[in-house]
Amino acid sequence: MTTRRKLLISGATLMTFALTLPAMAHHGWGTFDTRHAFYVAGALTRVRWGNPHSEAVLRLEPAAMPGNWLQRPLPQGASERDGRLTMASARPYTGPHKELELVLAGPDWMARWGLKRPLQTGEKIEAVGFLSAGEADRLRPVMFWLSDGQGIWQQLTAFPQQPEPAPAR
Amino acid sequence: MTILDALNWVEGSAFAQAVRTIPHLYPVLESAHILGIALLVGSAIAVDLRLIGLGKDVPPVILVTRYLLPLSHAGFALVALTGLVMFCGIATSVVASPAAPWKFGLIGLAGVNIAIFHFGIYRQVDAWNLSKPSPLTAKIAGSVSALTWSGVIVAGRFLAY
Repeated sequence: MTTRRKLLISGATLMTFALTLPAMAHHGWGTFDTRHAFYVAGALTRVRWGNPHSEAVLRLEPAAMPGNWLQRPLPQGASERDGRLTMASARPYTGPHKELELVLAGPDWMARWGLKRPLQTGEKIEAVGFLSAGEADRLRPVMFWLSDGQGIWQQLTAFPQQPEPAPAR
Repeated sequence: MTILDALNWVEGSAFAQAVRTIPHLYPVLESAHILGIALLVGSAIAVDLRLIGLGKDVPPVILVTRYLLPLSHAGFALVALTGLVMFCGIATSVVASPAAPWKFGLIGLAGVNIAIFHFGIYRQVDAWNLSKPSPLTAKIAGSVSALTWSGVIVAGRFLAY
């Protein structure tokens, strides 16, 4: 086979594969509006557990802020400063969506933050986090709580903007 | 079955679940993908620069292409394989990303450019193989190649899932 022919075949192969080529990328908090934190609670209707990060769909239940919210201890591994700023910024989610897609950490970080098993469909959780600036139905928790009260921290990189205190209730 | 059904089926398969959850597998795939990018884009840009005219009195064009393009192809095989495996794990997220059409479109453009070059001006390479300025079409092909592959890398980084 001539070099030219090999090159041609390679070019054709390249085009054939062009539509199957993904990429790896990971984003910090840059695409989320970290000025306003939202509190949500409900049951998970879909879980995609694993690398590069987990995602889950949360069916929202109407929720007011829990009692003693600001006294609630931060989860294991939390940043005291960012954790408290997020708690102080939290307001109940009152947006139009009945379900929110949760952007979660990958399994290795989950394990370091105390969750060594996959989340399950049907499981009830509470979460506080920030909405995506571009997609209003995506929420990235800063922390969430299992039904037994265990809190799981989720923040690794700095917030681009400091969370602002919630309006007085 | 819609495309979304198909993507959900891929993502929910035992294979995709293994890709996502086998410890250390995903970082290994990502590392191999980066190694493939280095081989593919690094050697492609070295060829592109020779086509544009860099070092035209030292290595003949044919020497550069025959040595580097097989490395580039090996890199392509590696990125395609690792990319396809990672795609299975997060198929719905990849397809939903606005960066996806950019990345795949630029790869397609790079492929068209390769085809035009090899069916076209590369057939007369003997006339400009050494110590001669490259024809304008070869310079254009080299520039388009370097720019599109660089663009593929940028779009890949923006391909957030």
